[in-house]
Amino acid sequence: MNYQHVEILLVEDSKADAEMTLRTLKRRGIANNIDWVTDGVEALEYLFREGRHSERETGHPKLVLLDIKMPRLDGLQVLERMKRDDRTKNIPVVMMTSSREEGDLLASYQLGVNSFVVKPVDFDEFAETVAQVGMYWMIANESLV
Amino acid sequence: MAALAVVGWAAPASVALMPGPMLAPAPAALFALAALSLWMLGRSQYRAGPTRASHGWIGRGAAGLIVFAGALLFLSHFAFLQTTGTGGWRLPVGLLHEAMAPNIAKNFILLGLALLLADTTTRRGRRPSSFFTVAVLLIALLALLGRAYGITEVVDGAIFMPVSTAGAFFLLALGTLCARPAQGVMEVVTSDGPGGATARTLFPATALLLLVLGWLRLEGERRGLYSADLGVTLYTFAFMTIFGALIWWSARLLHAMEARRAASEAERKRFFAVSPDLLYIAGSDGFLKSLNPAWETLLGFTTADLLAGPYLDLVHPDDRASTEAALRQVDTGVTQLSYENRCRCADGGYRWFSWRATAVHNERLIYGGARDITDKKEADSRILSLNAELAENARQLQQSNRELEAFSYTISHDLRAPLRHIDGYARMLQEDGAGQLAPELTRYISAISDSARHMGALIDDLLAFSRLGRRAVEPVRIDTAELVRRALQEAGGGQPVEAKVSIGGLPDAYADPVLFRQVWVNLLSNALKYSAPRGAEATIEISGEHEAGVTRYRIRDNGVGFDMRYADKLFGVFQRLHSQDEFAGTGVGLAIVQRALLRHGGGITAQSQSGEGATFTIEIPAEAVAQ
Repeated sequence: MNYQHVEILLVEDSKADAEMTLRTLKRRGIANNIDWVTDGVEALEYLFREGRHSERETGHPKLVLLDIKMPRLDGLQVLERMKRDDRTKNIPVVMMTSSREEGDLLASYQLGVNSFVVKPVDFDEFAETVAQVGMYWMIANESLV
Repeated sequence: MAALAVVGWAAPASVALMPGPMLAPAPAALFALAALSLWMLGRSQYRAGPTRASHGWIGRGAAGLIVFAGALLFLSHFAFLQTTGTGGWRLPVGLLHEAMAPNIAKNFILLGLALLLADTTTRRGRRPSSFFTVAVLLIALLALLGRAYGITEVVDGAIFMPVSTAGAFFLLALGTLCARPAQGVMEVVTSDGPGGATARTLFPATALLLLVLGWLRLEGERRGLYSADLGVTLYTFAFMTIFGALIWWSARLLHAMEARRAASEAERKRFFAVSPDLLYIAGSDGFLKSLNPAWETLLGFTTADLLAGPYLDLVHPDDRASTEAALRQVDTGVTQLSYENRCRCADGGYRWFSWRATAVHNERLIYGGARDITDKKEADSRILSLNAELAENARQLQQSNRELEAFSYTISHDLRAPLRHIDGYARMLQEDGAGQLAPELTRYISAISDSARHMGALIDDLLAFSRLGRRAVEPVRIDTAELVRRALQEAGGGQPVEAKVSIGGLPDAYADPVLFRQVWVNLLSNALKYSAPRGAEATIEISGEHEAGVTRYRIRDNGVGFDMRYADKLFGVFQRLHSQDEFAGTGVGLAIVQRALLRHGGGITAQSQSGEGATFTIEIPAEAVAQ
């Protein structure tokens, strides 16, 4: 396996949230190669090797952590695009979001999200959640990619 | 009626069976034809379709032949009397002349016409056939009477006719009358009312009586019992008496009928007058002919005014077209009309009426009534406007709810993120600066974390509280024991529960599952929290029962309890009876519980002794009513 191969794509517009997530994933040794994009548009460019990321090497992330509320293109729209395209529909997507409003939950599952996680306010809980999610999807789960 | 039908059959039959020698050949032939015709026509009315038609044609054909033959024979007499004419004609004419007497020929013409026209109706609804038949009947009758009284004189050749011929004519005429029993002359005779009864009684009775009287007089005179003058006197006297009696009897009958008719008329007039609805008779010319007093009462015009102009003048201009259209339906054969319109009142206003009418075509009249539905129309329009208002209110409410949804969505999302960051960075600071920071500084950082977390909890609880108010209550049957077990797990936060929890037999509840679960989670988490200081000695008892349409549950813990003096603050939002340091909490948990129970139509009460635990009792109706 190529060690440079990207393992996780983090799609998160909040710098603070991203910093906390990245720190936890690295500290707990769950993943080392994590790419971070700050909005949905860039996320799609990344996945389909267009625009800013047309030079990206071949291969797909093993997991996509997707925030819902983002400017321009939000998480649900990115999810929909991913699940519609044969190239990306098998990549596990975990929705990470601040709220568990029912509308978001329903919409995400209808679009075929693999998992839906609410980011806790408490940092310890947050770190624990991220670790568990990462651990599960990176290590325990068998994915196609 | 049945008897007459029998006569209708019997007549031609008996004629047909009459021995041949009794009749001369020509009359016999024509009688046979007449019998056939009568028989065919008589039967035709009991058949349908092609049989009916064919019988009718045969009958009429035969009748036509009779008329033709009769005419020939009749005219032959005139021809014979004239001396002109070619030799070739004289022989056949002579034969014809011998065949039948002119009066008999005349009678056959009449009989033939009667049969021919049996089913004809003139434009004014009269039936000429019966008149011919009656004529035949009378002529035959005269001949028979003459025979009965032994007269042999010839009066204009009118009386002289063999008995058999006269009898045959009489029977055939009767038969013809009976062939169409409900028409023409027979209509009155066969009717059910007093008229028919009178005719049926008097005709035979009078005929018989007069026959006897006449015979008495003649015989008396012939036998010399009394002179001709006395005979006439007696005859006239008897006549007067009998006629007097008959007239008196008829008059009395008519008088009784008239009384009944007047009573029935009075009855009708009473209904007409007393009805609160409008009643009327209108002509097809658009004018009202007869009105009941309700018109004056409801509309305020005098009857004279109302009869003066056409009905449409009263109708509201906007409704005139539809009213006219409804009335015009009469022309297409519709007999029942029903429509609504507004009519003008004397005070200038309009009232709504619902009209029902029946058109009687023969009389070219419309009989009808109308009900004042102004009140109903007003009520209807009020209902409509109330409904519109209601719909508008509902729409606004929905709008409000949508706004609230958006609002809480924002809170939920956007307020939490910064809190997470505050706590996150605070903790990261602590983690990374573990060795370098003085314990006091670490403590400050912890305080930041705690506050952020507390605020997060407040936001969560507030959102829950608000959602509670907006959610629809959808009650179902719930297995409370099962729900409590699951709620206990959630209340314990996934950690094994130290306290000893005993769950008694719990009755099923009829409640909204989401709300009810929230109630139990909050109550149990409180019980756990406030009895935690007891450690392994902590006990929580849960029990419940049904009673008089109410389902009741009790949660008792042996925790720290609370001061009953402040019990009324227990359920207030953000109200607490313990400090944050003693026990963490937002002060919204019990407020949520109470609100949820209230929305089911239930409630909650609490009992406690400081230091000895608390008991919370919740009640909901056995069949929950959502509020």
